[in-house]
Amino acid sequence: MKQFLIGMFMFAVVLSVNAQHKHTVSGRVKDQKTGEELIGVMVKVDGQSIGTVTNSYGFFSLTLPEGKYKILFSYIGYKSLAVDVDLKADVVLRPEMSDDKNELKEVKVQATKGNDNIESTRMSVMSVDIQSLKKMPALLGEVDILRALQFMPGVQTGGEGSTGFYVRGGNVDQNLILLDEAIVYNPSHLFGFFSVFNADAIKDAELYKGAIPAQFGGRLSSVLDVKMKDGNSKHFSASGGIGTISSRITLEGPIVKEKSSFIISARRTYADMFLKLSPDKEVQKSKLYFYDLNAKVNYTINDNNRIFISGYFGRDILGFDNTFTQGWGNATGTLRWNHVFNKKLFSNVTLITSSYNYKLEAETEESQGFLWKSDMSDQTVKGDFIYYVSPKNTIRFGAGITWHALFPGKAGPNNPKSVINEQKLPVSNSLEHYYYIDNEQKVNSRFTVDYGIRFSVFHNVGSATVFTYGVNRYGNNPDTKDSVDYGSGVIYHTYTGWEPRISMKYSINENSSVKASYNRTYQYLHLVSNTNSASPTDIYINSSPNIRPQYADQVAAGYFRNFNNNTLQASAEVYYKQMYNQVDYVDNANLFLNKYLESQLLAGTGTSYGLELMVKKKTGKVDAWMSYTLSKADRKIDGINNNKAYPTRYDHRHNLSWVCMYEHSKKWTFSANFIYVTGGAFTAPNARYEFDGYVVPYVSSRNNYRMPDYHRLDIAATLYPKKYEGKKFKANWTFSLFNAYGRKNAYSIVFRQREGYPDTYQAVKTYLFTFIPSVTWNFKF
Amino acid sequence: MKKVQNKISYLFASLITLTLLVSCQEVVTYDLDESNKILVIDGMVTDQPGPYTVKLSLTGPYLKNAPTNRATGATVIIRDNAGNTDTLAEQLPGEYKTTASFSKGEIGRTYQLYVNYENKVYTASGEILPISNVDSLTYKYHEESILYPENGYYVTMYAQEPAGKGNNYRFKFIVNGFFSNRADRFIVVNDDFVDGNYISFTTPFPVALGDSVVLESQSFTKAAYDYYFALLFQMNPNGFFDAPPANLPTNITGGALGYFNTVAIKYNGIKIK
Repeated sequence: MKQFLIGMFMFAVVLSVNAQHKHTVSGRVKDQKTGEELIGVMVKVDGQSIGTVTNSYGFFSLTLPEGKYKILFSYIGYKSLAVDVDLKADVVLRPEMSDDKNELKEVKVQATKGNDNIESTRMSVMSVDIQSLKKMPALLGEVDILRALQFMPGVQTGGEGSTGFYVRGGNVDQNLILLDEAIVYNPSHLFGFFSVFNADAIKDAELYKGAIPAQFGGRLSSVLDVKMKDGNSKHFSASGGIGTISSRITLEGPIVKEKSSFIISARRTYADMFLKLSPDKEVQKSKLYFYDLNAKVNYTINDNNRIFISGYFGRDILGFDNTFTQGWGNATGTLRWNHVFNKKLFSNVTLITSSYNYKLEAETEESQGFLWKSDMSDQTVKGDFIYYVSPKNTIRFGAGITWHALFPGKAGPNNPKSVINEQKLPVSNSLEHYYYIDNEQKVNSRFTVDYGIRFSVFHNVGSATVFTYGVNRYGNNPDTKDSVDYGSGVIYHTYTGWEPRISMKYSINENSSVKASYNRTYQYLHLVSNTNSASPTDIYINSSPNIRPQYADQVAAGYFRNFNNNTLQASAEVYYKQMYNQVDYVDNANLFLNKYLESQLLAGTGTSYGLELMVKKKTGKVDAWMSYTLSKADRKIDGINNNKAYPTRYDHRHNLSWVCMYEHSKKWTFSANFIYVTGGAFTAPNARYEFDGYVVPYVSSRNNYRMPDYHRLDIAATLYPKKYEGKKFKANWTFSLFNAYGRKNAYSIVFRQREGYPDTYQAVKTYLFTFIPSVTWNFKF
Repeated sequence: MKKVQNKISYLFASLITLTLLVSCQEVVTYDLDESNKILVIDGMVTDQPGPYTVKLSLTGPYLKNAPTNRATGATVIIRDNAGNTDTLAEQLPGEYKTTASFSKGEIGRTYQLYVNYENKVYTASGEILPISNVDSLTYKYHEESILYPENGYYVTMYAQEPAGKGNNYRFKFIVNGFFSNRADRFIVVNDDFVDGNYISFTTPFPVALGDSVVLESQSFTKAAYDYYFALLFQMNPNGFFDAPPANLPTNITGGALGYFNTVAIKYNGIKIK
């Protein structure tokens, strides 16, 4: 018995020694000058290969055994920070990092080690460095996130004048564009010259081209996650710019010092001021402008609770006299509550409203007055949780539900005297909800794997009329075999989707790693566009009994290598994507207010694959990168193009671009960028024939020709006058020349009758501009 | 409604081209390789006295602005469902006309076309549908503005659209005996948006004092309307919001292009004094 008791005692002692107590060191990392939380800061335990990264709210959490540690914080553009921690109980740190603007460049690079691109599992993701962005040449005086993205591999834009962007062979509607978690439907102002993101109000922007984390869903090809700044919580600050074509201002400051702050950003173009100088009376009377407003307020209740309210409102107006006005815009509102449970479980609950609307009004005489409106809106509630189990495991899980209301179009009289009859497409409502769980696991010091699953559900909700169509699908009166009516609030159809996501990284050594990923994504919304270029009149439709949801499988693999002590970063990535239920319109489709719209659409598969290469250099006075993408994207839909595969409009075989920024001196910075993209596909006639006195085009296949290659060079110079050195008020002049050699890049090519000569056909190219110079005076205090 | 659609396209085009000062258009040469020659059948039977013509031709290079080749030596036969049949005679190369023995087209009859060209067979059929009356034609002088491209007299027709959807029309305004094949003079409408209404339609182009204007109204099937409507779209691209070129929905089997139309016609006239 005595031996047994001694044995038990020894056992107990051994147990208590082995069951070391673990405690959590956590907190939020902030910018020392402004109080802004920093996203993506590397938090490491000195001497061990243990670490984590701050989340979207600057929060980190590391659970370690009791003991003494040195915690290192490192972040590009900031001086590294080391904090000593004697971990005997949970510790909350409030590290504040200061930027390294005054440090020599060489010191900057060493401080950060610069190999986070090697270390993290993240692949297929591009971070837009807002500071670098501001040095790039600015079109019409504005730096732009969407325009910067086109210089990254895997991203194509449709050229000037087109809205949106295309990622890895996916259409413009396949990008989930989020501004503080609210969906932005049309990210472009003025036909794509400017995006809705005001760079002065933005803190962080990341584009996921693949390996899309399980917390994101609803769009097939990419996620552009844009986060607004929270607003300087330490002191009042204003910045902005006045330019030849647009102006902007941002005001931010504390409401309660270090506890609560606000930020407001506004901007407006006034391109129409110049139109008033035109000798043409018609042009003088036109309106052409956009304005937008970003506003945000946040309040820190305590270390564990924080509330944010943010909103965006923007509008574009294109008008001609008072006879013709076209307007569109997005509006978003977000309410978020961060809550930290027990230091290891971080949560964020969000309420979001987001809407996009479009209107077109024409009134040449009262009796002909006409108004067309369409809009869509989303209301969402969602919760996202991050459970920092241990340095080896981080579990993310959450759920959300969204009510979509699509109002695809109503045309009718704009005044009681008008003779136009009202025509209306029915409202389409749906309810979408999803659940996800994901674990990022560090298997060992070299191998990390991130695996997760998402489950999404989509319901069509009445009231609605569902048609079943026959074979004849032309015009406004296709064969409708059947139609069923559903009452208000009735769920008349449901789709579900399982979306596995997995990505992994294997570090070969400190300088190189290989990564691979697979993801499946579902999308319940489809964009229908019958035009050669994206336009505000493009229609969004819900999945329905006639239109199945889109889904895609993407595999990607990449090799990442840094050279010269991480001053040169290189990557090579290959991807293959198969997309299902891709919708395209039939030949001669009539999409204008067609209540049998679904009859004009057929669905099939899309295939895209490519190679993306990128090289980045950040040392000394030169900040530069170059990217090249070789890719292919096509579709195959039964009933279109004789059932044969055809290239998509945005299939660009080669895309080469480079960006270079040179800090010549404290006074001058020069930058240039260049892009070369081979032409996208479009449909051109192969032959002509005569019918009833008319010459008619004959087309052998859809998208049978290529637009001319697109290329341009932009240059800019920024002058930092000496008189502002060391002062609180800072200003600079930016001179930029967009399309420096004035290439007339084709916006569209159409084949049509020569005016006045009905038997003569010509190919006519429309191009939007040649040189666009601009001067902007920027300030900040 | 199509008029509204047209107006919108026109307004879009003029707005965007006018306000985007920096936007321009220029003619370019384009390398389009020609596909193999395909047979084109352009035939019409009407309820007016014959002869009725079927024109056969071949496709040609798109940017070569010259007439395309005719298809000669074919066998062309038209049959109606009242037992009449006729083998058309090739009066001019590629132009085949019904002989004197073929009876006049009648509303309510169905006509079938049979073509044998180079040992390939092509067929089509269609019914002549009824046509309603045009009440009246008037004219009015308008100054140049957004709706009226030039100063001049604009002719308006008025008609009571018969209730019941399924009526399709084409209006040809023939000025002094001449009908222009300009794309902007091509007018087809259906009754989708105006069914049962008292409708009016104004010429999109002006005429001058002293001109004689004859309105030829045609009524035809929905399939023919779809063909003409698609043709209208293909001929009116404005560079910004166009549908891309596509082949028209023919009613001819066998792989030929074109259309075999069966049409009822009415004429109304007015003189600008």
